[in-house]
Amino acid sequence: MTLEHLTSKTRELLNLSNEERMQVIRSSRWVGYPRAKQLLAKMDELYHYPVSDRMPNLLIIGDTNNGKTMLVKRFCSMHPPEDNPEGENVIVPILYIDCPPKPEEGRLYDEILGKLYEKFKERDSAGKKLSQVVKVCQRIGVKMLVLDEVQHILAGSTHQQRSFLNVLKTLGNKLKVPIVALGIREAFNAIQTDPQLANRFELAPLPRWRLGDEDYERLLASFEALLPLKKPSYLYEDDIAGKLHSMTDGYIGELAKLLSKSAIEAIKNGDEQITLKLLNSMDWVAPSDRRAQMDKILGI
Amino acid sequence: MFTGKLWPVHPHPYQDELLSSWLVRIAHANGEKVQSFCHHEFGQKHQIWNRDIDRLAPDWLLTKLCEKTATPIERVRQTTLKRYEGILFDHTALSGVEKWITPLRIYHRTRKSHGLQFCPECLKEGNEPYFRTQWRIAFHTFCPKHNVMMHDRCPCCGEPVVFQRIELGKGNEETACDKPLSTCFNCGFDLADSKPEKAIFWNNDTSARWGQLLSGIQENKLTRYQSEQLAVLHQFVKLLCSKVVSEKLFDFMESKFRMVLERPNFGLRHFEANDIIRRFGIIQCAWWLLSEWPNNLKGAWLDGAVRYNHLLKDFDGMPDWYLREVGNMNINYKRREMLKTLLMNTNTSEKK
Repeated sequence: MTLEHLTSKTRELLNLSNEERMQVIRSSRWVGYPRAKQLLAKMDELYHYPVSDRMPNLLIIGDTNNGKTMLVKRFCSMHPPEDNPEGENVIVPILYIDCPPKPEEGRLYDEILGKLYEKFKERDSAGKKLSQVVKVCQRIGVKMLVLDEVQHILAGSTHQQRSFLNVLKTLGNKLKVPIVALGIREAFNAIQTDPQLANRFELAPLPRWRLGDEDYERLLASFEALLPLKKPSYLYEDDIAGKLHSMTDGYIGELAKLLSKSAIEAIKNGDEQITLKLLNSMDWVAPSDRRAQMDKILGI
Repeated sequence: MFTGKLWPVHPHPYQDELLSSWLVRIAHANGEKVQSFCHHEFGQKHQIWNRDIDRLAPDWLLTKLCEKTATPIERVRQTTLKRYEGILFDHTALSGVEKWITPLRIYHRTRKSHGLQFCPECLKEGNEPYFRTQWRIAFHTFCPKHNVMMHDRCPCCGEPVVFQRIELGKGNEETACDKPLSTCFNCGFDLADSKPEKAIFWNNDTSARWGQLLSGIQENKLTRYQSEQLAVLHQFVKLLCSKVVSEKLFDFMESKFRMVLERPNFGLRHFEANDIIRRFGIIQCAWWLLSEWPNNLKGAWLDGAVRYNHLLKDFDGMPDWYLREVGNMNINYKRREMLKTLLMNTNTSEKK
């Protein structure tokens, strides 16, 4: 039996029982690929950017389930927070928050404070909260602010959107840290409404995977190397790669989910490899077909 | 490692910092007003500011501070006045005035007494101003480090020091939590700018012994004799503040020194509740009675300024050398008068 399709770390996992291996597969893992590495390098550059009055920002745009959050969380894990019990404050180099569901100033500060405190005074005025946020963030050494789901900005009126963008600008200016914003395509439109802000946000798209792309094949090989299956599946070969692409529409999140499911199936039925036959037998609907399927079920 | 259990900003207490001072600094460093911070960290049911937490800190407060700031519990306990147990007083009393500890006379969340003292020079030292545990000692009326008088009120408006009220009534003012602890809560004056006044002693010997006693208290290194001295001094300041005894004693000393002395405030029952100027004077009188032992005390007794039973009254654990001398004073009025004339005659003959 050749195990060359696996990384050395994954090979060790083969000694585990079936149940334990399935558990490993279910847990999420990071699969590196060139575009992700580029973006990580970009973020690293921002992270080490010298403090100035005008900090550059980054806007990562990608479709839903295309690995934006995973990517940024990966970056966060490279700069983990620290309790620092000896010192006077905790150290949180990267503050990761979700944009509030509505573009309101106070709610943004609530998100930030909520990350840091179990409780805080929610009824304080926005101005008071801003000063608290700035004071605390400076003390705990925040060097980068990550805002996920920026498309939430669009949930407000034009006026609200505008004032919220001003808030982002102010916050960036006051904290003097770069902001990394993540969102789907609509987020781009939201940021574009403010020319000054649009200027400061560098756009970084995270495109879907295209069939026939060399990177796509490499990605599949990386996935295979991380799944503890005893036999090689040759996922990067044309027919199976094509099948996977049509089933997932090129979303990396979908791909990860599908591969996990089928790998578990492969362990259960004892085949120990992902084959076309197995993929065909999977109870799986491609994202683009889901709507049509629902229509069919509901009889519309 | 990040557990999220600590307060994001968790300063540790400074050298000799007072619990309340530390707690206010923590709240402000986290950008919160003291009341809001304490409400959501300790719960509405746990009241903090309507009691003297420095003297009687509840355990839930100390343990929480220990957990949330990663400070060893022994260090946390050092920020309370309980650290002087066995040095200044024997057992912590749950009510009433503690021996040598200034009372705050808390009325709801205000203070009716000028119990917290400060040295303007000390406030200027270090990264930021903070308040020390030793500043609650009634005996600490001058700063031995800078040799200046302590203050016990704002020189501008005369209000006591209540630093947890600095941001009170400032509404949503964004900078309310950025003010230094040395700000007067009433008029905003920076207490560190109070004029330092040199401490003037009646004699240098007193100042040296007093200073040694103060540093001995601070480092918990009092010799047995010093502890006994402190106990006798307390008996004397008690007498000097007692309405019954005080009048004659002060008259005697005024005639002796040919100067007018500031009398204690008899409206207050305890020496510790007097303001700093009075306490400074009273302690000097007590030192005088203790000096040239036992001659000065004997002089006062012969003059009828103090009586045998007063000297022993409510004095637990008095030292032997004190009892020995005072024991000799247990004689009746006529014999005392005889002794007095005898002594006066020998004195005059000596002078001749």
